[in-house]
Amino acid sequence: MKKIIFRVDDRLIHGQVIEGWLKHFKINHVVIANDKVADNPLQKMIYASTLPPGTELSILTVADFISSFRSDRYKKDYVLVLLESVDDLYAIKSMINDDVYVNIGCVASREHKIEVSNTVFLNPDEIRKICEIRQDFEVFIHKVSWEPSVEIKNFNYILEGNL
Amino acid sequence: MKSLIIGFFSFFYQANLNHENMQGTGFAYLIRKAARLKGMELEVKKVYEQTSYFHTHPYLVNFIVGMWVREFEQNGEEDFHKKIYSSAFGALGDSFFWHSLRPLCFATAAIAGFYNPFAGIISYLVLYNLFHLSFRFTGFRIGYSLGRDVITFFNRIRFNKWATYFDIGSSLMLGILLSYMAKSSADFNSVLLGTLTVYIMLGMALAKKLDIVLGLTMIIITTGFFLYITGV
Amino acid sequence: MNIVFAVLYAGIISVDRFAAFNVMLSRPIVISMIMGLLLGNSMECFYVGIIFEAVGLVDVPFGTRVPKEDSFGAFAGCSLLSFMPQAHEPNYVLLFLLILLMMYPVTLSLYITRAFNKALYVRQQRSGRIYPLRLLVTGFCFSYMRGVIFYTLGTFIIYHIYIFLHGSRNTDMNFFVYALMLFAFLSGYVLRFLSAKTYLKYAFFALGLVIGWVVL
Repeated sequence: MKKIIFRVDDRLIHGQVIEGWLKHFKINHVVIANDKVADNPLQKMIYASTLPPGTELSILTVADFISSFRSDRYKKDYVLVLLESVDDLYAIKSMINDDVYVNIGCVASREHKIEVSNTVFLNPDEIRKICEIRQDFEVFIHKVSWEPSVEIKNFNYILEGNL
Repeated sequence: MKSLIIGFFSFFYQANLNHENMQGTGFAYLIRKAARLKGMELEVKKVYEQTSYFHTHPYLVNFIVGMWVREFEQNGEEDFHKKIYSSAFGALGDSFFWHSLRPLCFATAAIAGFYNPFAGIISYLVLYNLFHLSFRFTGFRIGYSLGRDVITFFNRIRFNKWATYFDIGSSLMLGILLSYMAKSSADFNSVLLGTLTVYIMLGMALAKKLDIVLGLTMIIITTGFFLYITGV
Repeated sequence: MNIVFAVLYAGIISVDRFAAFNVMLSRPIVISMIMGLLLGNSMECFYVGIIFEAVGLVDVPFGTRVPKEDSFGAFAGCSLLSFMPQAHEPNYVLLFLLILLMMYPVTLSLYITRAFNKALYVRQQRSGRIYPLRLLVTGFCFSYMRGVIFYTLGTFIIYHIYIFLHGSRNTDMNFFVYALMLFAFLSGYVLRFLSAKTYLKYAFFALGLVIGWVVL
């Protein structure tokens, strides 16, 4: 597995993330890149309380994450970067390189969303953004690390059928 | 008493589990019950809204129910905190109950069950449910009294560290179980001891590379062949 | 009479796994010991239980994922060891492989349960009025029936395939040694799965081995 993982999961830190990724790969640094969470002290405290001892947590705005990522701050760590939405992933798409594993864990069903898998529901705009990222890098749907991942190859048929 | 009542109803709250709203139906049911116990009648629209996507650890849901009712009473942001706590308690609960408590209870019950199956059943159910039921039946009261700061309770008891301690205990108990079973085996000899050691090492080597069911399938066939050839 | 209890217990196992209670009556080690007491072959059931429990300890229901039906494995294994014909030596390799194979369709029935629950929920949602209690009661009953039907049907199918395939080659082997070796292999998985600091974990495991050897 690559040393840096970008994961879109609207629940941010939850059971699958801790058990399926953190403990399995012995990841020692979790980054939540989200403007709202970075601005909410209670939410920060809640997420900090859920991590196993010995795991570092950074909660940053998307802009701060981009600058810290560029400064090689995470060079020595096994890092899991959690993003709440495809929009956040799109905002940091310039950070994606061959050393980064990009996956989508869960984007829950809301109104007017297209079911991509049983845990991932996207709207047309999000699908377009994934398509754009997909032009250069692979994007997977991956619940937990030991289960097979599904590569998102081509959404065009969904867009054509639903728009 | 109210906490016990909610604890009882929460036994059933997962019954409509599905990939659309996960435990949302059960959460709406619990919220309505809890609000009634606190002398409030929720509007149909409010209950309807609560059936949307919700997923947390089933033993810790009552903490969220308590927090939600408290925030609702005080015109707080109950739905915002519900979302945050659902994932946070999912993480805490999965780590402790699924990951760490189950192995410890298993190893303990297996040692007891090796002597007497009835003792094994009782020791598993008592040890496991001691923790499970404590959280389930006190959750609503604690959630209601602390409101959106309910996480402080988990910080106070250092809940995120429990999993590590229990995993160490599980390692110890697993070792006891294995050596006790090997020693008690009627066919014990040095060859069996060596073979078991190799098997443990093999399991450790394959653990994070091969799915456990595939690994088990492979070992069922090879071990069967090995015993058939050696005539054990 | 005990068979009737076992079938009814299959429903409780299914409910306890995901729909309600979660008091761990559905854990393979508990199932095996209960089935052992019900069917009168405690020791064999115990060994079946520890194997499937080890599978279940590693394959856990985190978040939205559906783990494989370890409970069915224990239920079917214990039942079959009691009902297998006594005329010839049992072929444990074949038996275990058939159980593992049957775990997949039984796991699939869990997806069917979720799809059924979803259909009920979505139908009420579309009508604009949701009755949570009605959905919960229906889900509970469906889950109970899933256990009764799929667990007993799965066991029944394995039994007949086993009878059909068995006989071409009898393998006379020591079941307890066989099960112990399988469990030792799975213990390696469980050890790696536990998340304490590596040196502490293995030190305590070694200490456990010594205690088990010397004290017990």
